Amino acid sequence: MILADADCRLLMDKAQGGDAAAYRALLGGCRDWLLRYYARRIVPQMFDDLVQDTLVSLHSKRASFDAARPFYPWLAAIARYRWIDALRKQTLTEELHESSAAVEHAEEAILSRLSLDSLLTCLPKAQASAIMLTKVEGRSVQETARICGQSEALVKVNVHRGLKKLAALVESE
Amino acid sequence: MTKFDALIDTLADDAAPVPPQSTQVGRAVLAAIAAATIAAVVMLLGIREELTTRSTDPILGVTMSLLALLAVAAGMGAVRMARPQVGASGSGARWALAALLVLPVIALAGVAEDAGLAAGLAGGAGLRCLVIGLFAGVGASAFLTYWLRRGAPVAPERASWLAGLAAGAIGALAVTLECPEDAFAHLGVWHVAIPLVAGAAARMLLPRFLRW
Repeated sequence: MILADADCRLLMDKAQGGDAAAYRALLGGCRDWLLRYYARRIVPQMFDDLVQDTLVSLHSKRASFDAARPFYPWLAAIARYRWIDALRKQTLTEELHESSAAVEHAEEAILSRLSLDSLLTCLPKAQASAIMLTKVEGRSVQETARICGQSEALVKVNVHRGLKKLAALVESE
Repeated sequence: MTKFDALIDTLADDAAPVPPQSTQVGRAVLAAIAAATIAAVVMLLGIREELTTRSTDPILGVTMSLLALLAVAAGMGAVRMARPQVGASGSGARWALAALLVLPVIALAGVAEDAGLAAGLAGGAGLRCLVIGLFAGVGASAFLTYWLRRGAPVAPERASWLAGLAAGAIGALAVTLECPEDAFAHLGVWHVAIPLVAGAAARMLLPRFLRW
């Protein structure tokens, strides 16, 4: 269940005071929100790790929440930060490329692409394409280079620069 | 869902009280450090003579105002960035920096037109102010580093840049109050260089300590 922002603020206010029950309820609501959020922004194989990492980050940085401010913009900023971090760390393997899971979750992958499309509009086309193909669709650098008509080195540079730019947009976009 | 539930239980059991990191408190502490820095520099090195006689050169007033503006804008931005937030604009420091950068442009244009003004660019006095200004900004820099590390900056590079600019601007403001040099070239180049050098150094060195 997705909690209302006002409820989240109240629960976090209590959680910062040490109320475990309120905190448990808040984390449950955040889990549901994050599952939806990442379902549109990451390949399905990475859901679980990313949601868990974000919940742990929320926990370790809960003091940075100001109860006078809206809750979801705070959570979304942390979620974006962890998402870009996950994309950076993502190791592409041939197994991922050839995995049947990518085919089974084709619908989710489309949603993921659509959502990334909106975020990636701030990047130059070459960088957005390189990130889309390697990080979201899980294609190899060689294949991406062939599709984009770029050299493999340029694909790697575009991914690196694109992720760097995305990181700079975490708060502003 | 089971594994999330187990994690949530673990995190909830660890729900010790945590004092919220108040942006207002952070800004107040930074303002106090800035005031203490300026007071310490003036006490140790004295105050510019024309400030005591109230015959302030307009150029000095403009320089100090622009440095103060940058210190406030960058400082407020850096403190705020400890709190994650989507939709934050934070363009104030950018405009304050742009306004400040007008000074070296005008100063250098003056030097190009009148070679006699180049004396203000002398390295000896300039380096003295640069070093003192950078040292004077250490207190603010240390606090902002601590503050950002305690918080959750989601744009560590930008937060580092702003922290360095703020610390440098505070140091530059302090050194401008004591520096005996009047030349516009000196003020417009060497004193403006202090926040730029501090910002660049912080941008290079700090992000690795702010990532979480």
